[in-house]
Amino acid sequence: MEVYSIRPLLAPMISIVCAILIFWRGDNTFLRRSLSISASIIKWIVVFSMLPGSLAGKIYVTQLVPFTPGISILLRVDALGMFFGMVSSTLWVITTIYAIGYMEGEHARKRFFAFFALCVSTTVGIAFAGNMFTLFVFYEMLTVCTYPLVIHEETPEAMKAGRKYLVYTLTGGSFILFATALTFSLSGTVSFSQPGILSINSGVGILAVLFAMFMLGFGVKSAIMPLHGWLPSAMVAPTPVSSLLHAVAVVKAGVFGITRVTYNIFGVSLLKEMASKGINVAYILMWAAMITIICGSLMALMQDNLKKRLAYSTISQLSYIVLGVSLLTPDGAAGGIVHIVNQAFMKITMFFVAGAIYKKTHKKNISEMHGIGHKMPITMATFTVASLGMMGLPPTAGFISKWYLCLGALDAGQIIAVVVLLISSFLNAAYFLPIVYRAYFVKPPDGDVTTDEAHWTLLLPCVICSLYVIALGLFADLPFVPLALVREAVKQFFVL
Amino acid sequence: MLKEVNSILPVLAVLIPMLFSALIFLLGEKHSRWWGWLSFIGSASTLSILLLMLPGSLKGTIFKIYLMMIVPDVWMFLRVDQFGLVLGISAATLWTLASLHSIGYMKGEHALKRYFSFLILCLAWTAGVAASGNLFTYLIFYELFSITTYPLIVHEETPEALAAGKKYMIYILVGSSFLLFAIIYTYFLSGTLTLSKPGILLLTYGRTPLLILFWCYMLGFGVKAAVMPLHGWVPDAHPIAPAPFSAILSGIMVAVGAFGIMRTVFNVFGATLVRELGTGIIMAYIVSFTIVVSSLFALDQDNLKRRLAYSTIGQMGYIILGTVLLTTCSVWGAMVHIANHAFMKGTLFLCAGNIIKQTGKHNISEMRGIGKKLPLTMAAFTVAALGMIGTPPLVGFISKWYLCLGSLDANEVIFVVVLLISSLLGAAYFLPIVYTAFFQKSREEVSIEADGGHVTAAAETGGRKSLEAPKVMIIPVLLGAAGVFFVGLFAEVKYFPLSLIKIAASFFLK
Repeated sequence: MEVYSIRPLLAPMISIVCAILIFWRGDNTFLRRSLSISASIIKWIVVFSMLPGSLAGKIYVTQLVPFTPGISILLRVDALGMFFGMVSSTLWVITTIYAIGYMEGEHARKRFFAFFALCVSTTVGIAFAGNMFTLFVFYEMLTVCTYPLVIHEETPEAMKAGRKYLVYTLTGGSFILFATALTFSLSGTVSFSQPGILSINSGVGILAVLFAMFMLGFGVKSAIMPLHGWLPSAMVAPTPVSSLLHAVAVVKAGVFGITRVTYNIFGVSLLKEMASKGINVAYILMWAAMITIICGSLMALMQDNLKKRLAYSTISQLSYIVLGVSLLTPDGAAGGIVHIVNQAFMKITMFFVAGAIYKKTHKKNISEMHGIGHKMPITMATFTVASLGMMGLPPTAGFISKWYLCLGALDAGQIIAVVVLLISSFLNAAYFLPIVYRAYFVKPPDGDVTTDEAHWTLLLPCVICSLYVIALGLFADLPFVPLALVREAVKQFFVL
Repeated sequence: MLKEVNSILPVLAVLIPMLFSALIFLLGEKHSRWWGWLSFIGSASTLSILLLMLPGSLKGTIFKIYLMMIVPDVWMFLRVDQFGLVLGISAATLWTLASLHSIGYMKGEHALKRYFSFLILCLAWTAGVAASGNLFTYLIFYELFSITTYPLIVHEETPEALAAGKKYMIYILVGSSFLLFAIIYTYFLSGTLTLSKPGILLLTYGRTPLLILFWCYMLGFGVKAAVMPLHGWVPDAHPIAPAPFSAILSGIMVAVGAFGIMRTVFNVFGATLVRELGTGIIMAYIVSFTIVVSSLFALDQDNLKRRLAYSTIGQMGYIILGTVLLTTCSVWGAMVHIANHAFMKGTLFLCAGNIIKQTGKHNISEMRGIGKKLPLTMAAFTVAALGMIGTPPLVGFISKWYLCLGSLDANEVIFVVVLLISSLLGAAYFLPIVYTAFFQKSREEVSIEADGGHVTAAAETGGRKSLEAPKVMIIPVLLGAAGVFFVGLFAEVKYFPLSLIKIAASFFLK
């Protein structure tokens, strides 16, 4: 049931207004802080006010001026969009608190917070986009808005990483533009709909090329190997950027795009028809995801820089989502999509911890972090919870994803995918647990074991996120948790 | 005969130790002397909660409670049946003894807050395992237990302890991958994970998937139950942990693995299906190998705790052997051995703890004449060791009696031979310790005699003076030994494990 409402437009607009105000009056620290926090909270309220309706199957729509005939900027909040919007607006609140603490004393804070707000605005735009064109517009805006944040430090290294980031993502973007145009010429529309807008009559060959184009385009931000190169270099950005953008907003925009293409542009039945005609694009995507899962984990094992290790872990974890989506079974899709939120909370906890450690001790490398657990016990406890979540240990959030993904893989008859997931859990343990071990069970080199936690603005977000990691696992079936929305979305995809 | 009632007791059994753990964690350094006592009180309270269920359970009542749905259609579900209660009570009893012992043993050690809060937290997970009503709940508690154990194993933080801890983690994580796969596959095939039926899988699912499943379960639980060749972590991790926790590791933790195998055989596959698949007998041969070889290894160890650890590996073999033979008597023997072994091995490790704490000696070859210095400890050790060998009327005899009867019922005389060889080997590696302790003279005494009976003050203190452990350490040891004796002598008395087990077995094998 479609309902016209202003709220889908309101949500991204709040952040844009916030960004403009910060540009205008952001030199005043107090004003900047209160603007950031209040905007993030208001936006959270607006997004969540749509939740009950969304769970009941309502779709909120805002139609803006037509761009060219047949293509318009359309905001349309279905269950999947609502889900992604919810994740990013919740995390924006938490990250804002963290960023205020972390950026204390840094330069160009006005620029930082303004672009930060813009990024969140575009992310919500992506979530609420009702057609491929709108999604593309916001997707490209996200790329551009992230740039000033990546190069925030303005060191030569940062500038280089920023350049790499732009080259990768803009190339990806042009593939998407091309594919969007091709979709429009094939079907006469680019609106997301159930169960997809393309038909087999267009020819299997051209459809396969189209799918490949989309995947190459979105695959860059989803960091599917070998398109992942930009992500580890972008870790030079300040930690709040790494955590919100490079663990959630930017990369999840990529997998979100893949999900949209798979289920709302192509649709399950079309992909299965294509498979029966001999071109199984979903199967190829699945293999790409599985290779990325394993290779990403192996690369993570070799990193000593904590943020780099987290980045490779992100690469691996993003492919869980792609894998789930490519299985084309209800459980698989549910597992993949719910991993968007589960992974977000787990990884953001870890980035927050990495940032807190850096802020407090100026240590970036894992090999220097002996005994850090004695110094910062609560911080490292949250890291431990997140690590256990990453391993998929019950009853944490990661387990829920793994449970659904494995069930989905069995449904699809892909035992190999189950094996890959289990191996990956093991590898996750292999690269996260040694950090925990080093923190708690190795004595610090200076023998100093007095507790000295980071400032509360850095500590509180870690604690909140790690509690979420447990709650998302333990209470996964309650009506107002993400899984319920995901099930609603999956119901729409598979017309259950 | 069996009836199910809703009850809050199973939740309390899990929650109480969790609360005590939190309490210990929150108490500051100022109240450090309370940490140990709190963990003791917590264990004792858990034990009383479990004992509250005993009279009902003996009448065939099953206590259950649905907590919440974790993922759709899969509940967090606690259900204490007779078999679960046996594990729960054994665990809580051993925990009570071990916590009391820890108060003495850990005096002056570092990181006591961590030790005691994790110790009691482990009891919560064990109670959860015992009370699990479906495999999903089981998995949650089982995994939490595995992880929470780590800080206790590496407590000393020496390089050896850390290496043992690493080995432990790798073994357990690989095992749990197999287990997770098996559980998800079971859910995929049957659509349920309940442990309340005698078997949820059907032969119609196909032989190959069932065989894959069976062996995945065995690999998964086998790591924790120390089935050879998956036992590698046991001889490293058990001796390196502080002695009271070694008692728990050896007495309960590996038994939790064996408990899992029994749940798999009786509640997931069902006795009938396992018979039809014919996997039971293969497993029986594997564990027979384990029983004999581990005993041979035990013979070779000079480190007392390491010898005990190898003995544990063999004893777990008994439990699994009895399970897979699938006759009434063998199943009785197997189930009762979970409780019996917990008592005996717990007592032995606590005794080892007394020896280490009081004399600093780890190796059997150094323990000459130790019986004179630690008479009560070594007396308790002797009782428990005799129990291990299977001397009547001690508890070990009860287990072995039923296991042998069961093997004969199954027409597999070979396993009777295995059990008897194992008893002989048990005598061969336990009795020399007793002999060394009581009948050999310590080096000091020898030197005194060489001096022609001239007793110096130094030799006096070193040679004769009683070094007996303080009360908090000696009482648990004596209670354990008393248990080994009385539970064996009065095995058929209503409130001892055997009567509960008979109810459980009749349900599993009907």
